This record gives sequence, C-alpha cells and structure tokens, in this order.
Amino acid sequence: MLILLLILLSVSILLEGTMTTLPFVLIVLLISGIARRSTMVFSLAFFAGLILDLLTVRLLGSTALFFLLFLFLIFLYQKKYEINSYPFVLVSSFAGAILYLNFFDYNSVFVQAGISSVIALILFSGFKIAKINL
Amino acid sequence: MQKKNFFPAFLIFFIFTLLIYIFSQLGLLKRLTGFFERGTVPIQRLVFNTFADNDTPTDLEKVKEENDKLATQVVNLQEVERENRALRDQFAASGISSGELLAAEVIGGTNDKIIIDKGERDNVRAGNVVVFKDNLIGQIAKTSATISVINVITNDTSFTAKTVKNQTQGVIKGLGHSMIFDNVTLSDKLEKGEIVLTQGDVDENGQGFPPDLVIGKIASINKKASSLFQSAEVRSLVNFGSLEMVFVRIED
Repeated sequence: MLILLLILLSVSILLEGTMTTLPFVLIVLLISGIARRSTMVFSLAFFAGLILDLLTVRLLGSTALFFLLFLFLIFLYQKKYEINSYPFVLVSSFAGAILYLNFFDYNSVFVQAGISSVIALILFSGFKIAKINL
Repeated sequence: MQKKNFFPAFLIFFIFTLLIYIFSQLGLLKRLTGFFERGTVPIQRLVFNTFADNDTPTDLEKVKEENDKLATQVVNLQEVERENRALRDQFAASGISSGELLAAEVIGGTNDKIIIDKGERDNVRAGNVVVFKDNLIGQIAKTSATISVINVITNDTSFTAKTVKNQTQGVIKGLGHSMIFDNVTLSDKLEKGEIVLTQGDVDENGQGFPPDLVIGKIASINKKASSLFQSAEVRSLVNFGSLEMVFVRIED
C-alpha cells in the first residue's frame, strides 16, 4: 500500500509540475497524513516539495517548507480533534489550497481551491471504501 | 498520537529544508539544481508531450490558422508601407534591437505560465521577451540553470499597445485568461477584428516589449458614452495551450 501512495504522489508531482496549477501534491499529502498519521509523511513532503521546486523553477525548499508547516498544523489539530472525517478533509483541503495558491501567486484561487476540495473528498472516500490504512 | 512523537521528525525536516531554502536564496545551490534538472527536464518533456493538446488540426482549424497568417502578413505590409512613407518624408523610424532569437521547446505549462527547456546556461534572463512567429507570447519570469518560466501576456500584465489600422493607442491588461485593450479615449476608433500591436515603450529599467509585435485581434468593443474611456476584448492569435516551441529574444 505504501507503493500505491508513492505512485499517487509521483503522478501528482508530474501533473502539478507540467500540466496544471491545481495543488494535487498538497491534497495527496493531506490525505496521506490523515490516513496514515505517521511521521513518514514529513519525509514525503520534504522530497515532494523539492522535486516540485525543480519542476516549477521555484526557490529550492520553498514548497517543501510550505508542505511541512501545513502538515505540522494538521498534526497539531488532530491532538485535540478527530481529523478522520469528511468535514475536516473539506475544510482543511480548501483552506490549504487557498493558502498554497496565494503563496505561490496563482490565479483563480477560489475556483481551484473548490476543485481541490472535491478531489480531496473523492480521494478520502476512496481510501475509506478500500479501508486503506497505509 | 502524542505531540512529542511527531515534533522531532518535523523539526529535523523543517531545519534541513530551511537551510536549503536559505542557501537557495543566496544562490549557492544553482549548480546542484542544474544537475538535478538534467534529470527532470526529459521527464517533464515526455509527460507534457504525452498529455498536451497535440491533435491534428481539423479543416476549420487549418482555415483559421491560414486566416491568422494572412492577418499577420497584412500587418507586415501595412508596416512596410508606413516605413516607406516615413523614409520618403525623411523621418526615421526607431530601430528594434537586433537581439538574437533562441528556439526553446515547451516542456510544461498552464494557461498563465509556460515552462521551456532553456535557462541561464543558454543566456536566458528574467525579462527576456518571448515570441512565436510575430506574436507576442510573454516575458521570462524566472530562470534556473536549464529551464525557465514564461509569464504569458494574458496573466496579470499591463503594457501599452496600438491598433494597426487606426493607430489607436491604449493599454493591454491581462486578466488571467483574457486581455482587454483599455484606456482608449472615446474619440478614438476601434474596429472589431482589428489587429493590436505592442507600442514598444520601455520603463526606467529598460524593461518592456519591442514595438510592432502582434498581441491579438479585437473580439468585442465596450463603449459607453457615460464612461471616460472605451475598451475592447483582445484575443491572441496563438493558442498558448498548444504551443510546442517558442523563441526567446536574447539581448546582445
């Protein structure tokens, strides 16, 4: 199942690095963090962020920093509240996408954030239906 | 999960990433990024070419392309006529800088940004103008050792422009997915289908677009007697999403 996650992450990186501005990698990392709740997701965020910086000509480390801080906030939140739920996935993916798209100066922020939330919910549903706990 | 379980791991990665970011800011990692980009660029190219819109053009699209070519030729002929008249009257038109054109393959991109396979090693710099045939595509926004990002003209740009037929002057403003030709006085004439060219103004830093590059064609006009200015929607003659190659003007 870890291989599945890595494949999903690789596809997201390639899509986001070449074809689209939708924050696929952020969504995959968010769902991974919720499903797995393991510190391994920080290492995935680190490497995914660096590769994305290479593909999109950003300052090396900028995307990885964002991903790490975002996941840190998610993990802080789950200390007190249940994060393995649809409302949390919806709100966190929407808010995370808005911050990400604004931080990296993309257009159509709200539209893209809305689409990102839908994708996050679909991915989360898929994980739940398949009862995937990576 | 206890806070102390994930915090050390987060802290390690965060400090490491912060160091990388700082070194990158100071320009100390350019060689390293160039080395890794040699591996990522072919993958980017492969993915982009696999999923990009490279369909064989239909008859209608061929006719449209031919029409656009003819429109550009009309622009060139009108410019030649104008220059002839100026020379005969002993007025010299200002020359366009001779900068060299560097061909670059598109390896990635979205509606507002295009990624090409040329970078600092090929003398590409931020601010270089990017064209395709006689059409203005945009400006280099960021460069690394081997790749660059182009900010296309529809994306949050603003520069002076003029129409070919009536020499009406105004300002092109990129709105994300479209452009408007704005700040045109009501007394000036705009016609649907008219070609819009760059004016050629540069700012105090010498940044700007060369004159007489095709921006697009007027698609619709917004003129109200109660407004100070009129405006027009301008559509580029180029489909940015289907570009496979562009040309970067490298300054001498």
